[in-house]
Amino acid sequence: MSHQPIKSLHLMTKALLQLNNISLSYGAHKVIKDVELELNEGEIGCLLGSSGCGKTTLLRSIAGFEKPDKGEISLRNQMINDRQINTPPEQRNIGMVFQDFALFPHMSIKKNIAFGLLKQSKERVNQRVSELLELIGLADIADKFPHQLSGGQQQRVALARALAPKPDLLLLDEPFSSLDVTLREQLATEVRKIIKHEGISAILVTHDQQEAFDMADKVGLLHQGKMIQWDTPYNLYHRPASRYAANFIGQGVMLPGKVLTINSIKTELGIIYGTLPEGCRENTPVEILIRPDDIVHDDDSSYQLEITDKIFRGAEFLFTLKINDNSHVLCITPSHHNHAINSLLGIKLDITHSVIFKK
Amino acid sequence: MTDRWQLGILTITLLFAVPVITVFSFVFQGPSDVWNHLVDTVLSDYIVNSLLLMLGVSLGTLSIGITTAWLTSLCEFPGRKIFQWALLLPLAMPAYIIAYTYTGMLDFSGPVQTLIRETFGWGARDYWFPEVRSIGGAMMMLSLVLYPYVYLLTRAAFLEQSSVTLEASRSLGMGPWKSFFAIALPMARPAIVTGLSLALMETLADFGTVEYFGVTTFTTGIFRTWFGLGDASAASQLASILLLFVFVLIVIERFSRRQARYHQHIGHQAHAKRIQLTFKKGWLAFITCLIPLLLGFGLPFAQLSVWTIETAEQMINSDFYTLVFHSLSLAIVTAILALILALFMSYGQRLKNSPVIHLMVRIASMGYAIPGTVIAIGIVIPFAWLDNTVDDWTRSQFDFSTGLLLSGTLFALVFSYLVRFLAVSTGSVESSLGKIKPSMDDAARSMGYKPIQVLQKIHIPIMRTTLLTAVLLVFVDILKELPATLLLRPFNFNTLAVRAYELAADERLADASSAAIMIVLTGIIPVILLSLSITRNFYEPSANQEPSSND
Repeated sequence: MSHQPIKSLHLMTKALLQLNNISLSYGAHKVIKDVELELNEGEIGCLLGSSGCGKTTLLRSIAGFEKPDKGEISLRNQMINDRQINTPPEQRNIGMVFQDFALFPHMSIKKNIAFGLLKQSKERVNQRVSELLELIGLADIADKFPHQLSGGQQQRVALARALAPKPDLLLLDEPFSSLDVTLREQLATEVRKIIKHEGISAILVTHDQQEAFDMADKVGLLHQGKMIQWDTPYNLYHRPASRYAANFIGQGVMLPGKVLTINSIKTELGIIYGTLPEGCRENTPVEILIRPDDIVHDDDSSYQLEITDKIFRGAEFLFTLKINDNSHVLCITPSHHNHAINSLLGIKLDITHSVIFKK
Repeated sequence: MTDRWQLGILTITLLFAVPVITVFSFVFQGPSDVWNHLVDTVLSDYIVNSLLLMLGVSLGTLSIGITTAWLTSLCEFPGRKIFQWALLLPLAMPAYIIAYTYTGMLDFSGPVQTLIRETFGWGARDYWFPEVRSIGGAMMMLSLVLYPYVYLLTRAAFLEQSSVTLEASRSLGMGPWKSFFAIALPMARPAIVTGLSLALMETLADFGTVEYFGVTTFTTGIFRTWFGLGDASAASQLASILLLFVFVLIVIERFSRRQARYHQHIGHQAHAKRIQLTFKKGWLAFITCLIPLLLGFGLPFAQLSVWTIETAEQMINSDFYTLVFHSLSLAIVTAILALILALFMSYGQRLKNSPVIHLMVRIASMGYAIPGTVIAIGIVIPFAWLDNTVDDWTRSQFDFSTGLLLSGTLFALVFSYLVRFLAVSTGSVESSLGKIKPSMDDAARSMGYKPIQVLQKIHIPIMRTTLLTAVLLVFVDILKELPATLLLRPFNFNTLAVRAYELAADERLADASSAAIMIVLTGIIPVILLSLSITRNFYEPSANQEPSSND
């Protein structure tokens, strides 16, 4: 179910990394099933999915630590994996940041960063190392050892170490999962800035969609080894290609309805217009994805729904509104609209692109 | 790349399996006259004596090992902190050396009997004194130096038990002593059995003690059949029966190690609080711990020291220095070789994580359980065959005799040590390698390093302390080794162990002490290493780090 990237945006660039039909199994267990993806020069991609979906295995296949049973991987138009070829990881020029950082405990920070700078003059190595230390803002700890650093510092050193040899592609395996939550967000933006500054393409693996959205230009949603959708974060949120993607990404509810005409659906919230999935006729039961931001609070509206639950989130309220006994919708309001549970809330629909699935 | 590792591991494993395969291959050969003779006369003695020895050593090591482990890990009494490491000292004392020493101390002209006669004014026939050179004596000697195996593993098991389990038992109405018997002891059982099976492997492998005490067991039988009767086939058949005993022990040991994983380690919780013993009980505990330490190390060491000083003038000469140099250099070179092989095997195993490779590494490190006598026979036979074949060929082709290329050379001896002790270094390397996260390998690979470079740049520097320990442990084991050295050494090549054996066999017990004390002193090195790890409360039951083999 791969999704074509929007061609017009990328006419000038050629795909840097290309995966065709990648499959991999451990014994009888199929971990990756026919995955395809393309990543362009300078882009940051993200493999998103719940644990066990195959995202880390896919990343390790790109790095060369796992050998797919089937399919091709090419980097800069060079085949690095197919039926005959399996370039060993050390010859792929792919950098990697590991979940546990994997800093070498017996080497200083400087030595760690310089480790991948083989066959270069001492001067150039020193120059590159100080350049990177500057970039990650840790110039003063060059001679310390990994165990003397905080988690966030270790993470930045791991990044600098992977970037040092200027790899064609940088892979990051759940890079923030061992850090505490407040640090994560701050680092995600910082890491994105550093990668973009170096002009290196990257692929990140995460199970946290906020992290994916913060970091990536393209997000691939994986489920049970299959690539559900490879798309921009915007499209993944607003134009999910499947019910699984619609449910996994963001919040929202599936509102039932019935097809009226070629482009309209009758629901409990009125008539909604949109492109129907194939094979829909009049009266075909369908479901429409309603995001909380598709519903706008308006006290003057004629639609008044009962509030059954509310969550205070600081800047906003998330209300659960009852349509009838079987269905409800979510609505976000600025947090000064403090309505009580069981009271009525006036709303209106503001759906720019409706996502419709056959029931 | 990885295929080369695989091929290497396969080759090493096959080579290392040669001795065992050789020995077993004779099972399928028809019985020789000598074999029939053995079956009719001495085979039953060998079996009965070996079983009796194992029984006696089990009783001895279990009673000493468990009691001292229990006292030092769960009770508080005067001297506990010193005892907890000092109780390991008998490990430094090879059984054959303690046997010579006690014989010298307890025989008719020894200090003990002389003192008795002088005190009571008795003549030679006025009193009965137990004969140390007997099967009972052998049981005592072996128990005194082998109990640390049981002590070490049992103590670790007791310490790993969380206090919560014992507290749960207490809260259910059991007293502290009842809880010990109902909870702590059964939980430690796999560890106890592992320790015991290691001690029994050493018992079966022992040659020096039983030979000196005139107890006929498999090892002495193999030696006699080989040297005395010159029948390689019958000696191998004896060795196969001995190996069957050994394999039973290996299976028990492997099984209990696996069990131990379920029995221990339920998270990292606080250790059980030690029971503070009352004054009287405390001193009783003190004496209980002191006795095995004194008998297994203190007294024999003191006696050896006295003898060494008495005989120094005639024994410590240039010959002695040559002997020390031979022994030490042979041991250190072989230990380094063992380390290189262990690194190759363990790292290959890490690269190529397949069940077949795991099995091969296990097979190659089986030697720790196989008696030196058996390994020696399993090496002499194929090497002699190879030498003869090469010699015949060169003679027929070039009219030139190569003589003996392999057998009777240092090469054969080094090979036997490697087969016997590879497990010691593999064990250390494997457990240390296991502590390095696999992401380290991946990180270095992704930065452009080949697997062998990763080993050089990452693993070896990180593991350097362990690697040094591994070399030391093998070094000491080789220094102590007696039966294989005796059978395989080149003509006129002596080691400290062989010299001590020869002098003792000539009843020159005091003269043997300078060589013996050198062995004991080096044997203390691994004890110190183990003690350090014990006081740091750091011990891995998975590692085959138990040093020493008291052949």
